[in-house]
Amino acid sequence: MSQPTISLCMIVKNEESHLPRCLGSIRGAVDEIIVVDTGSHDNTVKIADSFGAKILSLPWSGDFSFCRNAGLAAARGTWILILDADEELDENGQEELRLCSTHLEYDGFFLQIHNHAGESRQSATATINPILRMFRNRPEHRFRGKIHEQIAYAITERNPQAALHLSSVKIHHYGYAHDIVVKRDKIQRNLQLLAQELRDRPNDPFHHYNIAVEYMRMNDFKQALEHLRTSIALTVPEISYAHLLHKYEARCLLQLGEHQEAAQVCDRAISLFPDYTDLYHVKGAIHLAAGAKSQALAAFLQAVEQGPAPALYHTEPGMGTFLSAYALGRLFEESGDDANAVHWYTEAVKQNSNRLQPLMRIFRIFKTLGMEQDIPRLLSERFRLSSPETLVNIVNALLEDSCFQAASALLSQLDEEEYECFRSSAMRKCELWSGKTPAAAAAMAASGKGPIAESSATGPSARIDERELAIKSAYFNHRADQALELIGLWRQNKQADADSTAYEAYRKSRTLIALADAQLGRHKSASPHYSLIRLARQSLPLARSL
Amino acid sequence: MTAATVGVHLMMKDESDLLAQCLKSVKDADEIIVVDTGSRDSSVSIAKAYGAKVYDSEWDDDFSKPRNVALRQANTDWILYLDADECLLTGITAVKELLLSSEAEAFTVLLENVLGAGPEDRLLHRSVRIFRNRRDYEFQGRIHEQIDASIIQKHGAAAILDSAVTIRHFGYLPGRMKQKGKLKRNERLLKKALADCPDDPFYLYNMGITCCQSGRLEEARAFLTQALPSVSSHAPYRAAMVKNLCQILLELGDVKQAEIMLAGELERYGDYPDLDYMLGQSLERQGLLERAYEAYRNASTRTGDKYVTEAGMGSFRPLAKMGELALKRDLPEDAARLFHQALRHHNQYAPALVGIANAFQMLDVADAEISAFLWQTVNPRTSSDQAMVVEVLYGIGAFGQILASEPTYSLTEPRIAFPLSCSLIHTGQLIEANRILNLCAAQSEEGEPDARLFHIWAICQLLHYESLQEDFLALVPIRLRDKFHRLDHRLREDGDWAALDEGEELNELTKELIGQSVSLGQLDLGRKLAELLPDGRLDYAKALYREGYTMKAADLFLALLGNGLLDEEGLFLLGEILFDKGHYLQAAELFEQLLQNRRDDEKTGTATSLCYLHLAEASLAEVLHRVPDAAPFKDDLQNIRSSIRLLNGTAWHTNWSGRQRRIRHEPANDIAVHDREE
Repeated sequence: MSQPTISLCMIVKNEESHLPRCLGSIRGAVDEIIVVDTGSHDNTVKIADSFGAKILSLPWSGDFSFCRNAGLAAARGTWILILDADEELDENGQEELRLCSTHLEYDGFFLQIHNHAGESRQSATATINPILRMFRNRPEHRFRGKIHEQIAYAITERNPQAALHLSSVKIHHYGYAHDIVVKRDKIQRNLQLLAQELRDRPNDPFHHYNIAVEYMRMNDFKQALEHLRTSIALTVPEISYAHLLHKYEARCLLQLGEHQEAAQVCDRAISLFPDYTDLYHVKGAIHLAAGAKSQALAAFLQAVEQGPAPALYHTEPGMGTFLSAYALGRLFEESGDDANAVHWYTEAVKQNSNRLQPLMRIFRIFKTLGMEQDIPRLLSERFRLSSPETLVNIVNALLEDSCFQAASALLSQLDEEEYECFRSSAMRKCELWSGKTPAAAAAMAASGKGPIAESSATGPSARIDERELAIKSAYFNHRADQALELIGLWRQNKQADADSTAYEAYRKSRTLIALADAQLGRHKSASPHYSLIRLARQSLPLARSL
Repeated sequence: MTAATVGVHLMMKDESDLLAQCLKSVKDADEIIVVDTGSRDSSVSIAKAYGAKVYDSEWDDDFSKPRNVALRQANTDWILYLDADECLLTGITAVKELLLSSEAEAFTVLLENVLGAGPEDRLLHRSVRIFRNRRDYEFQGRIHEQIDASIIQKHGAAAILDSAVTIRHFGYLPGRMKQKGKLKRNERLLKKALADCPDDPFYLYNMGITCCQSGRLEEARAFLTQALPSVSSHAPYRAAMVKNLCQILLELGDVKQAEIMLAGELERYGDYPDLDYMLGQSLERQGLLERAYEAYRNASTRTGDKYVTEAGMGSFRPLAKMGELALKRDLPEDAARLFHQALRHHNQYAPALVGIANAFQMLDVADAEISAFLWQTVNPRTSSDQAMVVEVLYGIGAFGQILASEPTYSLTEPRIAFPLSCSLIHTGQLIEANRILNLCAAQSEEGEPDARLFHIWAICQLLHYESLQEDFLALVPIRLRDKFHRLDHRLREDGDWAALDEGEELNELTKELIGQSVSLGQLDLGRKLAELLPDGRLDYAKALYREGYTMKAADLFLALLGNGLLDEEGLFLLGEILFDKGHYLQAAELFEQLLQNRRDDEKTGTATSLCYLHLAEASLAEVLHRVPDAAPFKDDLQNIRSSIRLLNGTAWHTNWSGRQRRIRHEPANDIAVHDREE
C-alpha cells in the first residue's frame, strides 16, 4: 500500500504577516494544502498560491465550522491536518507527523499546542494544550459549532470505539496574549453567539464550558460557576476537557471565597484525575487563602512530587514546578524555616530562570540573617548566570535591597565594555551607601539641599534618582538629620504630570522602605523580638522593575 | 460477694493542724494505720482519737521505710495511702464501690495540689495510691517513694487502672512549705540520694524542682537540662520534667530556647495543653502574635489529664489569652466571645473578667450593663470575690457603678477600700472617702501597711482640707510621718521649694503623689505638687500622658522641649504623640535624635522604622490614587501594612487601661479631633 498522505486545511483572512512562517514550517511534511479564504484583501492569497495551495474563496458567514468543512470536503489526503495561520510546526515535528500518519489503526491524533504570549518562543506565559488537530479524512468527520468548532463528536459518533492517540508533535502558537487583549473586546460577541448556540442545543456541555471560560475572563465567577456545573453534569470524566471543568470549578469557588467548598471540589477532582498536577497546586492556593498553612504546605508538596502534568492534560506553566516551588518557599519563610525556604526558592529558579523573585527572596533571607557576604558564593555554587544582562538585573535587585557588599562583589565579574557606565554608577552607589565614606557622603548631601547636579543625566527621572542617592547616602552614613531634611523637601515638591508622579511616589516609597529596613537591621539577634523583626523585614515588598 | 476491706495508711511528723481534716475524710475506713516519725505536738493523740493504730518509726532520711512499716501491719484487702496534709474528697464508700469485683492490682487517683487561693491555682496529676495488700509489694525510693515499680514488676503495667477518686493536697501552699522547712529537708535527702546514684535522672529532676521552689532558677535549669537526655521516653515523669524545664526557661527569659524545645516535645505529647500554652507564651513574648494565637487555640482543644497539668490549661487560661490577643487586634466582639467562653469554665478567673469588661467597653456597652453582668457572673460570696468585681470596674473607670451597687462592702478588705475610696474621690465625695480611708488605716495590721493607702488618703485630705490633718498624721506609720509633715509644710508656705533639695526620699514621695493625683483626676493638685520639685513639670506631663490626658500632656511636652527641659523618656512620649497624629516625619526626627544617644534601644528603633514605613505607605497610596488599577502596587501596599502590623506586635507603644482610654477619647483630650500645628 502506498504511503498515507496528509492534507493541510486552513481558513484564513488577512494573514500576510504570519502565513509564510506557517506554510514554511510544513513544507515537505504535508502532501496537499487547502486554504479557505473568507475575504482577504492583502497578499494572503498570493502567498498561499506561492506555496502551491489550492484556494477556496468563501464569504464569511459567522460560522467557523461551515468554512472548515468546506476545506475538508476538498481534501484528498488520508489524513487532515488543521493549523491556523499564526501557528508554526516545530522543526522536530515533521518526522513525527509522518510517523503518526503510518498508524492507520488510529482515527485521530492530539497535537501539543504551545501558546506563547508574544511573537517569540521565549516569551513569557506558555500554556500547553493538547488539541485534536490531525484526523482521518472521512465524509462523516465534519466540524460542529459556529464558534470553538469541534471534530471529536463527529469521530466518536461514527465509531464509538474510535482510537485517538496523544502525540508529542509541537505546534507553536504566537500572540496569545495579544489575542486575549483583542478578544476581550469580542467577548461580548462571543457570549452572544454562544448564548444562541445554547438556545439551539441547551444540553451541549461544550457550549456551557466555553461560556464559563468567557465569564471567567470577565471575572464573573458566579456565572462561570453555574455553567461549569451544568457542563460537568452533562459530561463523563473521559471527555478530553473534563479535568479543566473541575479545575475551573475549584478556581471559581476560590475566587468567590468559598474555601471549604473549593477544597472539597478539588479533592473530588483529584480522585478522578490523581495525576493532574494543577489540582494539587490549586488545592494549595485554596488552603493558603483559608489560612490553613500546614494543609497548603502538604498540597504544594504533592504538586511538586507529581511534577509537570502528563501531556494529556491542559496545564499551565509552573504547576508542580516553579510556581509550586515558590509557594513552598514562601510558606517555609513565613514559619521561620530558612533552610527549607532557600531550598525551595532555589528549585524555583532552577525550573524557570526568567523569574528573579525567588532569587530575591533568597537574598533577603541571607541579608536578614546577617549572611550577606555569602551571597556571591551561593550564586556561583548553585546557579549559572546565563548572560551579563541577568547579572545586571541581579545587581540592581541587590542594590534595591541594600545588599551593597554582595552587589560590589558581583560587579567585579562584570567586565564587558558595554556595561562600563552601569558598572561605575553601581559601584559609586555601593561606596556611598555602605556607610564607609561618611565624608564624601556628607559633602554630597551638604553641597545642595535640592537635587545634586553631579551626574550628567537630566530629566525628571534623573532628578528622582539624585534625591534618592542623596537621602540614602546621608542616612547610611549616620546623618539621619540630613536625610530627614531632604525627605521633607522631597515631599513638598509636587509634580503635575500624573505618570511621573506615580513613578516619583513609587521611588519615594522605595527609599523610605530602605531606611526602615536599615533601622530594623540594627536589632540584635539576642533580642526576643529577633524572629519577629526578621519576619517584618522579609514581608516588605520586593523591588519591581518600572 | 463480700465487699473488699480498705485500710488507710499515713505517715506523719508534727501535722497537728491538718491531721484532723485528713482523718475525718477517711473515717469510714476499715482500718487506719499511722506511722509517726517523731512528732512532738498533739498529732499522735489526734490520730488515736480517730481510732488509728499508731506505730513509731525512727526517721532515717528515707520516706519508703515508714510506709513499708505500715504495709507490714496491714490487715485489709486493699490499701489507700495518704499524707497528713491531704484529704480524700471522694469518700471511702465510693472507693469501695470501685474495688468491688475489680480484677486490677492497683488504681491511680487524681491529685489536686492546692497552690493558692483561687480555683485556678491547682496543679493536677495522677498517682498510684490504691493497691492490693500483697506480701511482695513494697515502696522504693528514699524520697518521692513509689509502689508502682513493685506492682509493674509482678503484674505488668496493665494491672494498674485509672480511677476518678480525688485527693486534695495542701502541702504546696507557699506558707506551709517555708514554715515546715520541707525544702531544706528535701534538698538534704536528694543530696544523699544523688551521692548514691549521681546520674539518676529522677533525683536530678527533683533536685532541680527543689532549687526552683527556693527560687534558684539557674541551678534548677542546670539540673533539669542535665537530667532530661537520660530520661527514658516512657518514664511517667518525663512529661512533667519537660513542663518544668520550659517554665524555668520562660521565667529566665529564654523564650527562643523554650520555643524550640516545645516545638520538638509537642510532637511527642499530643495531648498536653500545658505545653501548647507555654508555646503560646513564648511566641507571645517574641511578638509572634498570630502563631501565639494558634498555639493557645491548640491548648484549648486538648482534653486529657494524663500529665501533670495546671487547672484550666486546656480551657479558661488559653481562652482568656486568645481573648487578649483579639483585643490587641482590635476585634472586641471576638474577644468578648472568647472571654465569655473562659468564664463558663471558671466564673471568677480574673484575666477573663478584666478582658470582658474591656471588650464590652470598646463595644460601647453601658457601664450599668457591664456592672450587672460582672456581679451576676462572679456571684460573690466572700469579700475577696467582691473585691474582684470592684477592681475590674475601677479598671474600666466605672466609678458610678462601684458606688451605686453598694452591697454591704467589707470595708476592711483593702482591695475593696482602695477602689471604693478612689471612686469617691473621682466623684467629689471627699468626706465619705476620708471616712473610709480613716477606717481602713485604723484597722490595718501591725506589719506592713500599704503605703498606697496613705498616699490616697493624703491626697484626699489635701483636696478637702488643703492640709494634712491630725487624724491622718496620727495613723501614718512612723517612717513616713516626717516626710508627710515636710510636704504639708511646703504646700502651705510659699517659698522656692524646688531649689531647696531636702533629699531623695521626699522627692520620691512628691513624685508618687503627683502621679496618684493625676490618676485620681485631680489635675490642679498635681500641678501644685509639681511646683515643689525641680523637674516637677516633666513628671506632671508624663503622668498626664500616662493617664490619658493626651492634649494637655502634648502642650506641656512642647513647652518643655522649647526650654530644653525634656528628658529622653519625655522625648519618646512626645514622639509617640506626633506618631499617633500622623506626623511621621517629625516623630522620626525625635526618635532619630534619641537614637543618637541610645543607639541600641530596640523600642526606639522600632518606632523609627514604623515612621518610615507609614511614610512609605502614604507614598504608595498616592501611587494608587493616580493609577487605580495597578495590581502590583496594591500588593506592595498590602505587604507594607503586613510589616507594620507585625512590628506593632512588639508592644513598643504606651498602653492604656479601660479607665485611661475613656479619658483619652474624651473630646477635650482626643488628639484625633484637635488639629494642631507643630
